[in-house]
Amino acid sequence: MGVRRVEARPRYAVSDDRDLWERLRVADEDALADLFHRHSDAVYNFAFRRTSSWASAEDVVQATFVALWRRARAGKVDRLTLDTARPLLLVMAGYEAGNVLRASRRQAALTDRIELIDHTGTVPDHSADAAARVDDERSMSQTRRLLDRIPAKQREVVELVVWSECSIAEAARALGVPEGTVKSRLARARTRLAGLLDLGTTEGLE
Amino acid sequence: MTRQIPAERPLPHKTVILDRVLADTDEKRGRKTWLLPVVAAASIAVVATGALTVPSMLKSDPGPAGKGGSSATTTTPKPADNTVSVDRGSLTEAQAKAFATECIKWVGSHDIPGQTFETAPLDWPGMGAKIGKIRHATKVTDSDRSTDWTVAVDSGGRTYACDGTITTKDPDGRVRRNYTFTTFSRKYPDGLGGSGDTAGSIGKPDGTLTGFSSSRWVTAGPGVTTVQRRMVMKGKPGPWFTTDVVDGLAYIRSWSSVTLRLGDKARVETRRLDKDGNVVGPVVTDRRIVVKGRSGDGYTALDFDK
Repeated sequence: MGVRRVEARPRYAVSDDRDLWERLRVADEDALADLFHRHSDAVYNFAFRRTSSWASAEDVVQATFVALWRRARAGKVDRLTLDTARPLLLVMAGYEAGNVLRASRRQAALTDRIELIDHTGTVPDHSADAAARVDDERSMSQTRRLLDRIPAKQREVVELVVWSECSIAEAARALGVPEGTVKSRLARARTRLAGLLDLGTTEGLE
Repeated sequence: MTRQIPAERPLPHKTVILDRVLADTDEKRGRKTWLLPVVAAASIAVVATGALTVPSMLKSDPGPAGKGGSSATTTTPKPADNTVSVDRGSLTEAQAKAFATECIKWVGSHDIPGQTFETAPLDWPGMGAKIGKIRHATKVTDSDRSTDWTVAVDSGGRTYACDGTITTKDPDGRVRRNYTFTTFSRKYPDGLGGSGDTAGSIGKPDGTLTGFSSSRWVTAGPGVTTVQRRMVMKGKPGPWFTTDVVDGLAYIRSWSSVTLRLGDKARVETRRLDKDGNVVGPVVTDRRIVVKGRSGDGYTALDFDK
């Protein structure tokens, strides 16, 4: 079948995520498109911080919204209990990032088997933007190694609250845990990573 | 000094990605089945991966059909054995040449900064090797009923092989590469030859694993006309997935939708048949799997060869 093209539309000031989400629940294509335009950047950057790869992050964005769209078409999207869908989409992206990373690791392992017969090839030119992206990926990869010093549940709170600027309440709802749990996880993460990663202040955690 | 994270960037190719999302109609290609986490799903997705077969991980297992196990031994399979053919015909000569040309590009390739396997340019200096002979140019089905291509290329005394789909460019000109490259080895001690196997699974947020798949190339010995592979999940064998030998080679896939939980075990078996349907040589178990607990990075993992 052909690819359907949906034009970008102006944001509706009167339409919050709850309205869009209700329309999404009955598989409204325009609602999905609006949600995509609202939150795809946030999902993209969340996924980059999880995967340390801009290319993988693109794949995660697509996989996340494909999964959402399939659920919507199957009538299996629950009601939105937050004002914004962003925290939920980020948690979903976290699941998808796992599978994208799995595929990447498998591919990397396979390419390790390539015999290096000819080393005379030269590297093509890269634009400044491409170089900056590579720098980003190296930097993020180093940051992830630091973040790996703390447990996964603390990491995901850092990713949601500190890096993606979700509120404590939003993160708690999206993760299905009490707000106090989010606060304590974040506080422990800040203690463990003090001096290593900039995780902001303790404001709001008391 | 504390480390900062890189600045955010806008998602590129928004319209293209959205088009792809909305064009998705094939439910069978779904990669996972998790429930939308409106108020739940606190844990990070479970991920499991199989990758390469390390020679030390391979074990020859006589198995019920191959007891006695030398290559000269033949055993007639039980009539009740359930089989599923993965063969879907041959590539045309033009398809075979195109896929072989794409496949052999990875011989002599090297990392390109800023590029991944999936996005590396179609051509770059120094890549590729001369095609000696093209073998096993066939089509095979996958667990989602999609069709992939396979091809093996002899070059410089070695054999390289690829399975997947021919490389394309998407509407905005980006390379979309979706095949697996592998190099044959003579080192595998299990007698199957070919390549190490590739295995994978799909993790779910509840900590279970499903969607297991495993595939490998096999170099067929004398008299072998068919290769079969099956997955034995928690002691219960699945069907034998079957492929015909073409040009002395076989590419066999197997899969299972059984769900495994922490501590569950599974294995993958491969056997070879002659033209009369007799088993030739031992049944080889070239994957042993145990579902481990969550690792330090939060992902549940498979442990192989336990």
